[in-house]
Amino acid sequence: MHISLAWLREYVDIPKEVTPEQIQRDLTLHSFEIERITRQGEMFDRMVVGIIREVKPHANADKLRVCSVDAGENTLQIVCGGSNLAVGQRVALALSGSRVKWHGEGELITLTDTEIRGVKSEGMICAASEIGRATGQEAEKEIMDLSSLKVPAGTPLAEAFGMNDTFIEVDNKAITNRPDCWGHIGVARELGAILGRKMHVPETPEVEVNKKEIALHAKIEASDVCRRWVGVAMNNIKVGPSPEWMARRLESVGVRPINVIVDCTNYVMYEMGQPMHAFDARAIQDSRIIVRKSRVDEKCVTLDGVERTLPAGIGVIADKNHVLALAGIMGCKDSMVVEDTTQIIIEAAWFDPLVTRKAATALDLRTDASARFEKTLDPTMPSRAIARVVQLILELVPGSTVASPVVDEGSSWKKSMLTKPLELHMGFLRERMGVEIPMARVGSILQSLGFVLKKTKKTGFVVVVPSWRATKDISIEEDLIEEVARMYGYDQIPEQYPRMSIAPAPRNGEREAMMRVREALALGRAFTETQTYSFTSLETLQKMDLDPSAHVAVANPLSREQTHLRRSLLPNMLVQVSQELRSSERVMRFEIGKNFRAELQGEQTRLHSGEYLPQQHVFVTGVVAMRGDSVPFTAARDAAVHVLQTLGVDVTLRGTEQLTNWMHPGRSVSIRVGDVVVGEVSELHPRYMDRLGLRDRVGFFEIDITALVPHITAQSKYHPLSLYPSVKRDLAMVVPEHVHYEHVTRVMREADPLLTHVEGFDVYRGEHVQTHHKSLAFHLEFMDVTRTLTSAEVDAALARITEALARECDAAIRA
Amino acid sequence: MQQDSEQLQKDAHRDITNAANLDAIAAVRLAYLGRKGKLAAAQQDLASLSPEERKAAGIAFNEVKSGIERALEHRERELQDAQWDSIKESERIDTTQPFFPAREAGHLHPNTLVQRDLEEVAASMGFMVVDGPELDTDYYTFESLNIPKTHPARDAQDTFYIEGHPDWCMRSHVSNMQVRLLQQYGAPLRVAYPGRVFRNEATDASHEHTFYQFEALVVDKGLTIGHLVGVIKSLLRGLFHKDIEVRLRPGYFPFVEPGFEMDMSCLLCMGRGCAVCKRSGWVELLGCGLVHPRVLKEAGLDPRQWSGIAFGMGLTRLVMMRYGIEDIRLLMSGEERFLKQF
Repeated sequence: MHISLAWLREYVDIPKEVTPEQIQRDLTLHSFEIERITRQGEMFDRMVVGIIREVKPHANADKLRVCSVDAGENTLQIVCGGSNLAVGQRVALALSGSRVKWHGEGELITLTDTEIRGVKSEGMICAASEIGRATGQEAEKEIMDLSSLKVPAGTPLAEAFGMNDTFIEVDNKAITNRPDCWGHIGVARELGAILGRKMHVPETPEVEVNKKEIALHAKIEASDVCRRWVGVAMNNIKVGPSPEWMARRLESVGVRPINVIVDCTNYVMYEMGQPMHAFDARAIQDSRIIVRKSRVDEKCVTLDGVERTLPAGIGVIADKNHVLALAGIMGCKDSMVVEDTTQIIIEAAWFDPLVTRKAATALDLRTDASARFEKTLDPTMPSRAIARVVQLILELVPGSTVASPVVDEGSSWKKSMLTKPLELHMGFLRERMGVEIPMARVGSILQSLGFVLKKTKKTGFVVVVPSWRATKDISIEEDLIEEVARMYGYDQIPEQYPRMSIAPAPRNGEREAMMRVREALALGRAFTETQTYSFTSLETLQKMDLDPSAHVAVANPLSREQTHLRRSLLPNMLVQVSQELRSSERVMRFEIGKNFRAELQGEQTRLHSGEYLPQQHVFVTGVVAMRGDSVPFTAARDAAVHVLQTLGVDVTLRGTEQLTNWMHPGRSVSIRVGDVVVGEVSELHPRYMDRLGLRDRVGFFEIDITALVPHITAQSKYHPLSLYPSVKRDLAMVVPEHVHYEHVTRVMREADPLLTHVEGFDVYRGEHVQTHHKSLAFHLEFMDVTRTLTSAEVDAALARITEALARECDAAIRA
Repeated sequence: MQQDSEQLQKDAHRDITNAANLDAIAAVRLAYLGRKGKLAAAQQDLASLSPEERKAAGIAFNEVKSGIERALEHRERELQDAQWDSIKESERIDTTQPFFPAREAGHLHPNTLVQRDLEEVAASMGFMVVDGPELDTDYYTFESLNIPKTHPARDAQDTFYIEGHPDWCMRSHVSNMQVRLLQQYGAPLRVAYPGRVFRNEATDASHEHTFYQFEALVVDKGLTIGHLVGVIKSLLRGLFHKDIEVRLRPGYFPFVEPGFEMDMSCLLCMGRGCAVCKRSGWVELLGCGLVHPRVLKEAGLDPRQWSGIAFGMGLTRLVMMRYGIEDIRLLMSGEERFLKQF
């Protein structure tokens, strides 16, 4: 919302020395954030009114003249091509450093002193278009003649144009809880309280009926839409333009002047914050107003010229047959005030905030009025607003008369919704603020904001909340504390350090595990951490043959890309990886995040509700693809095993029957703790490579970190170092393809207790190895913790091992 | 005899001095101290002397021998050191050449890096660090936080709702944890909860529908606005490793009363005013306040007995500030060129 400083000055004295910057800072620190301040005449900086003293021809150009221009403090030489230059003429003189629109077109450019065809020019005499003041009537090459402004040479142009105002831009979000600050009076009150200045809001006389010519009636049929409706009829209206001052004032806050009647209602809205509407009385049958809900398929044309079919059940203002306005949002074209309107009915009402917001949302029509009603306005305000608008119209439309008494429906309700007087205890104030404030100071702060001290006791006050703050904003004692604290100044409250227990906080196994997994993968296996959205698309689900109905669906997705919640991190990661593999030879990624599984039990929806949210376990998923690696399963398995070892979880990896359709049936294992599956390692089934545009085979693993947490052991296991040297031997063998690596190593370990370490270093298939066989090579380490082994002992152990391998693994030892 | 050993000593010193390299010195050593060397021969001559003469000559001989040994060692060390001096040139390499092929390290997401810092500081201040449901009920996300359906603040919260469960939503802030945690752990409580949140708003360089927040909650007896400032400043000191100047101004969040926005002195211009802080010297940092009595009541606590402070900030915004990331969308883009910079 835009606030005019000149307008604020009507209600509160702002000392001259208080700069707009200080006002910005003060309001930001004590009331609400001011986004920016703009000076009205900013565009005319470094521009003055100049008086042409001399016009001479230019030696090198027929169409240019060299002028001597009185700029007040000095006289400047200006080269100008204006067709209407004359001695004694007052002109808009742009000095170097000012910003003008060159020939009235394009971006603003900054002027500098220059030479034009060899003659020095110390500025520019402007055409109207060059300073954004063109009316369209100007001749080509005509400079702006300001001779009608009888100001001395050197007068700043902004001042000469009467543009001295400063505008304050308030962030609307910062005042959602402050219905009172949606008008200038409310903002002035804040500023007055900050600066210690009294408010002077002009008295509005009661409405007096001149002649009862119109029998105005109003009936509220939908009290959930409208709790109070106040209106009055006026006669002998002549609709014309508003006087200059009002038009200017409305323009200054961004409202387009329309005609004197509409402008008066808008003026009151920007003054008090009460939206109003003026109807042409001719359009209202029998002058009987009905506030009701819209019926099915009801139509109307709103003021913006749009024909609308109304959603059933929104609030409307109507007569017997027609909709006249959408309650709290916008009027209709048929009943608007036009040039030949002579009788009007003016409305000021209290529309329900929620109902108004719902209607505005349903219509996709947000207006200045609906924005205010949504904030829960002061229910005592409509009658004051009517009195104020009548006062303005009587003043600005000579001959106009009040043609009905003020109709006030539902006024008895207003008291019930206002906050009752509140107690403010000085002890509680001190306890929450952490600082002692003298009671007199507390009282004067509250009074400056319009609170009334009903009773003063030793221990505190009984405070009457002003109606404009009493709708919601101020409802409990803590709210009063905020009022006192913000005006006292938050910077006056000394920082303190709480006394608290030094007991270490309970640990969170899941978060610790997440961090250890991250470090294990990034530091230990050179994986890069990525993030993908929790949402996925129908397209991705279909590509992966996933059942959309098994996925939690978003009711109001942002786009087709984000319709469902992921059950696995893998699909979104694969989409990312397929893009990355277009430019990379190798991708090794992981993500840690939550998956959403509605068929499993998550946290309770509410304490003791017995209903549960979808399970939201934290998973880690890793994806590996390397150009030329035809079995990325191995790298994925290695990373998964490293993660599990880092966490110290005792797991088994073995083939699984529980295949997801994206798992490669011959290249997958499940990770189990006991009998419980907590994850899997696999290669992507080749059928999905094409669908995802993958050229390379992809290995992946998924581990349910949440499920692992109870099995994580805290520490590594330590074995004392042997005092005796170990003996190392290498062993190579050929085994049938179906014999598993793990089986081979187990057979070796079990064959002789002196074998303490087995490490595979090569697998080979091909020449010199028969088909369906593979050659395996191992480093073996033998050791006894009590003595040094002899060569003969090691040979004997090796013999036992090879014998076992031959027997149990069908192995042929290679020399 | 005396003259012989003097001559021997002179010859030896001359030969040692003249030895130009380690090979030459080895030859000299052999020539004098070897089994068939000159000293061995001289020692044999001693046998022909009378016992008295032999004693004196023996002492002189031993002195000569040890003198030669010392001279040899000295010269050897000299020659060896000279050799080390030469490797400066003879073994010189190009120290700017990297290891081939390049070895890759892994990378943590920038969000993780900042979150880890925040968690560590919070933990060191005695805060428990937790997370909770990202898909939560309207009750924990709004209702329990004094944001009823009629509340205008709902306008600002562009929330994703769940099909078939009108009272479920994707949390639009991590404050959904407040009442849940108080119900679970009771008071007093010190807890921090970073996490992923969702807003139904169009994405551009500065808006994402998915981002991260960090919030902390303290519930205890007698907490004041002063405590709020003290606790936040301590956390900032831990995070930025220096004192950070802050200021409070009124801010509106329905679940705190009073509510504040906290600005910190712009770290780029040190408060003098620059483009980043829009020349104000201050940068918006977080929202905070004293926990609203209705929230405490909702959590089963007596607001006259207990009080709370809460503060929450955009973790993602902090990440962007720390690294100067200009486009928020990069964080979720999966761009390798982006991820590998951290």
